[in-house]
Amino acid sequence: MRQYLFKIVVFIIILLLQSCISLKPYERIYVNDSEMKMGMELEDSFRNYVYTIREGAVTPSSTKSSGGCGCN
Amino acid sequence: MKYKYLVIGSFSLFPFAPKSQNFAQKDTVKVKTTEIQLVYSHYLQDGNNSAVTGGIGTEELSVYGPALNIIRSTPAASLAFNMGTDIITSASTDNIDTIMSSASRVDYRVFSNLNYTRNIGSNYSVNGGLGFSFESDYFSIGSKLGFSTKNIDDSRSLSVQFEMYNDDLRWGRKLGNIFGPLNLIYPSELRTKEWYSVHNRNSYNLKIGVKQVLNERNVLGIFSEIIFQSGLLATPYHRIYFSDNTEAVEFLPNERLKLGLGLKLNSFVFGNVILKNLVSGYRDSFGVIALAIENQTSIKIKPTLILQPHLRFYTQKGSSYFKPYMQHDSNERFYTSDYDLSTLNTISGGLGIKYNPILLKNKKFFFDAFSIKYTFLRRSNNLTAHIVSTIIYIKSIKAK
Repeated sequence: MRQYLFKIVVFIIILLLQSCISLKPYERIYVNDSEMKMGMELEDSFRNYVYTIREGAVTPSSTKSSGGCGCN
Repeated sequence: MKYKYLVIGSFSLFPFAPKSQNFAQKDTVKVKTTEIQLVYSHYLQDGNNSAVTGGIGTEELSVYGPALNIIRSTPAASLAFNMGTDIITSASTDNIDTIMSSASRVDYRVFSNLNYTRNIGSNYSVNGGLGFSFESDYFSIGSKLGFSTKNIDDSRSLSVQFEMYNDDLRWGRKLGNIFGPLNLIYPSELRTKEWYSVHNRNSYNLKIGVKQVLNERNVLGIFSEIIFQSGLLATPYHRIYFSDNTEAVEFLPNERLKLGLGLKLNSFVFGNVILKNLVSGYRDSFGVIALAIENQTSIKIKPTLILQPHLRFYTQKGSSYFKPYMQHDSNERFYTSDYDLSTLNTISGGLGIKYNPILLKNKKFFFDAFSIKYTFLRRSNNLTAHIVSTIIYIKSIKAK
């Protein structure tokens, strides 16, 4: 099951990367929009900090500004 | 004769002839930007599976978190300073003592970070940072180092970041006396012996991120994170009640390896709607396996007003070290009744509003934006939480 899942994920990534193109400056109006930024927004920083404490997992790409346990 | 005058006249006009552009003497304008972000986060939680009382008991918790971020940047570099505090009112921490002692009921987490980013040419940048945070039950020093690179048209970028956190989990620090006497604190009835031989926890995080523009309306991000932790990974004041009616403190392995992988697809689908979809998977050496699916939609009502509804599903297969109240056998090697490590599902969702007016930009400092975001969270063991984040953005732009 895990192997199938892994193959499906790899297949989707390869499929998506097939459509990679180099955009001309006038074609970048949508990808340059402030809402299209890939990094985490400051508004979501505290929410993701809560997730890292209240869930066993860590969300990749989340920002964590300190250590500590959050054990309360 | 006329030809002679024509030639002399033509030469006399040479000084007024248009010149070709001299790029070497081009004037450049250096822009310095200062951003001030005033942040306030509010967190309310309630539940009935506190690990402090062995998997039963209240998890009521309130956090009031003001913070300040200041970012100064030029085209060549940026310096970011961050500081803040979380004022924590925790009913479960209050139960470390058998008698309700209000002394432990209100706690403070204080944190500060300084990060520097330097651009090398137009395609590379390096960054480094230092920070600390402390609460009554730990003191943490964090450091990080990273670099990023992008191609000429910024359609592809790569970032690599290494972070290290060194935590001291001894109790006793508080505002005004952070160098006071320090000890690991156990539940009051279990203070007859030292349960652990170490009091430090070290975390090493390696983060790798790739961004790829797929086409005019889609951007894909792939993020991976590897975390290795060593030292005291259990929490000294988490109780365990065994099935034979004996009691102990939580005990977990002293090493943990965490692996996370995330795929994020941002799509400007039509008109004024942007979809941000994130799928992430996780597994670790404690046996936790998790999957999260998240969507945030940005709807541009006006160029200055954005609505951001968001929804997230999370499912987790718990650690084999977890068992509920009085289910553990006292002969087991590792044990915890912390429901954060149990098998669970979480659903969370809410709404954000971002207001970004274009006004007062001729002032030295101008109001740039305001945002507020609310999230409600419900976990399958009936833990509920309300999260509110508000941010005021103030900016200053100077040209030299």
